[in-house]
Amino acid sequence: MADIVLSAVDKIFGSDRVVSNVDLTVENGEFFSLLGPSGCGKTTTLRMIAGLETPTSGDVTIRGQRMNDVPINKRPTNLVFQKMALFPHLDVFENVAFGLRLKRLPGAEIKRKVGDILDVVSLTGFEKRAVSQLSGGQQQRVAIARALVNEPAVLLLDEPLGALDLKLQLHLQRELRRIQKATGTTFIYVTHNQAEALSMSDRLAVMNGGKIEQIGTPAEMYLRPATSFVASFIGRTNLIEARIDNVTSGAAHLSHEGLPLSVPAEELGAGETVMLSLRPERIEIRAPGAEGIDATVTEAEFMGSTVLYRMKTASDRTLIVQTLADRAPLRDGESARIGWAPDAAVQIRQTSVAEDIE
Amino acid sequence: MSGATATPLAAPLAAPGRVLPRWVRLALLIGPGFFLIVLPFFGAMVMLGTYSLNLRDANGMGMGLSLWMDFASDGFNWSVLWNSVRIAGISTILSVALAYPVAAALLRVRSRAFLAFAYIALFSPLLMSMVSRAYGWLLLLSDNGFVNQTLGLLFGIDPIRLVFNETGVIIAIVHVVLPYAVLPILNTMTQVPPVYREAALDLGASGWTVFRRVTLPLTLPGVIVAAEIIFALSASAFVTPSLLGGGRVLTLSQLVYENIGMIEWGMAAVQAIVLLVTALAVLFVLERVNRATHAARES
Repeated sequence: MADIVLSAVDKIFGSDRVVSNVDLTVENGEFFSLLGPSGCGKTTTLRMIAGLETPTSGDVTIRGQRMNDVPINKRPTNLVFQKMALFPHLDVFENVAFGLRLKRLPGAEIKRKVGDILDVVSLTGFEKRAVSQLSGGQQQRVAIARALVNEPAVLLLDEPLGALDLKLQLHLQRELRRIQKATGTTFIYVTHNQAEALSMSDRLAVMNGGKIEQIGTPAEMYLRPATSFVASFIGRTNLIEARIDNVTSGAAHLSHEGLPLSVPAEELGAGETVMLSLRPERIEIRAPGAEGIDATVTEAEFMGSTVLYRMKTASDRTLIVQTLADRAPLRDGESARIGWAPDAAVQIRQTSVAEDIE
Repeated sequence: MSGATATPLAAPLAAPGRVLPRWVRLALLIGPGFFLIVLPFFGAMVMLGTYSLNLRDANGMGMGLSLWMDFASDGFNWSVLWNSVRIAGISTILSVALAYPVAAALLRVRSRAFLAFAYIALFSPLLMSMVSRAYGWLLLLSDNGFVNQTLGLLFGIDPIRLVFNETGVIIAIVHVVLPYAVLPILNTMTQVPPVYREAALDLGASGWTVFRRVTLPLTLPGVIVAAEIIFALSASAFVTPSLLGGGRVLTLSQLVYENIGMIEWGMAAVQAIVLLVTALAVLFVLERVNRATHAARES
């Protein structure tokens, strides 16, 4: 059963169309991420599901009920804020118990539920601590416990790990995944961090300029990006524009730098220009004299398990190439033979291109 | 500046390359204020102390606690002290209760022009002389003043007694101290991020519950600071209770004034010290409450 359905949702602030015609379905028990650069509308989308914003048009439905006119405090959702927002005048126990006390549950039940959820987030024994005495990671786990203890239909998380250092982020990513599996709660997770979204999500939506560019599993999004924005935002890629030479038995054939490429033809015809995404790891460094083209390294980036090269071809085009670091890496100025299999690229629709954030 | 060597900015005060010792710099910063405020205060305290103990022995009554015994044994003094405390207490509660919503509203104002207007309106009482402001209230609140005439026209009721009693005194005091209550509360409110409110709403709280369980506790320090200032100001108020009380509302500050007029400096000193100690005691209690709310936050 679908927990959340957004249909044709728009949000306009003044003359700004922040969210534009968003359609989205999140299934029960799913870990779903909204991924995009800052200002793409992902947080506004989340706040409309939470009830902190009202859609300008379109419907927000939670578990089959239209929620547009339901105020935030009557919705079966709970939100984990980017800035945690733990109440500084309450201790850990009272922070977590806040929602339960509002429901006027008996004291013993509140105590049991708070104890159980603190166990889930590995904070047993911290009940009487003040919020200010906790580390950033502990505070974030209290924030998650405070939301989860209310057993929401959907837990909404707004970049909850953004303020933490990298090591803690990685640790809490695994923790969040574990908590999500243990409780079976539907999670909607907003992030601008593509690695985070890929590693945690069952499915994700990439947003850009208020619109959803693509929805799919992490593997689908990486291996079969639908648009130039998705291809360049998730991982790195080489964007290639080329004209189709000919179409045979459902495959469109074309070439880049003289090397053949082919994509499923579907509705394509010879002479049309298409855009392709060629991932850096699909380009191979080959033995001298093997089939391929020569290219010169202009920049080599050693990344541990892999090496990332920027290479210039004879026609002065730059290609990004990524290979396993299983031999001495090439140095700046060195030349090498490179090539790729004909099915190495995928056809994409041209939208905008994500700026390189690294 | 000339020469090849870099010269510190403190050069005019010190030899090149050297700055004044830390304690000298501190003394220069604190000194003027210290001489103007702290020294006269302690000087006055010492003077008051000597007068109250009759150390000058002006009347040949002998040194000692006799004036203090006189004060303590006269029930009239105690009832006037109670007047002062009651008027100050009621004024404090009313001011804070009025100032809190005003501060909350100012926090939400977006228009700069309206905000400027609001601040001018808020501070207008401070721009007027205390005496003319008090007479203004007398005119407004008297039996055939604007307020009673309006009430009579609207509801056909007899004039309500609003001057020469505590009601008038308290109205006029609240009028002038209100800005001192709004500012600390507003200041604390701006330091409470709106995300706490959103978080409480998200957890199911109604607007009233958010106020009671989140906003009010988080802004309580500002409320207490406001209460401290208001209590101190209204307990020592003199012109307003004299004019609007018309001699029928006696406060300790008026007794001090009368005694000075009658050259009873010793008794005036005792009463002044009692007034000061009372105000300090209330501030002490409020400060303890403030500490307790902070402690709850940190432990």
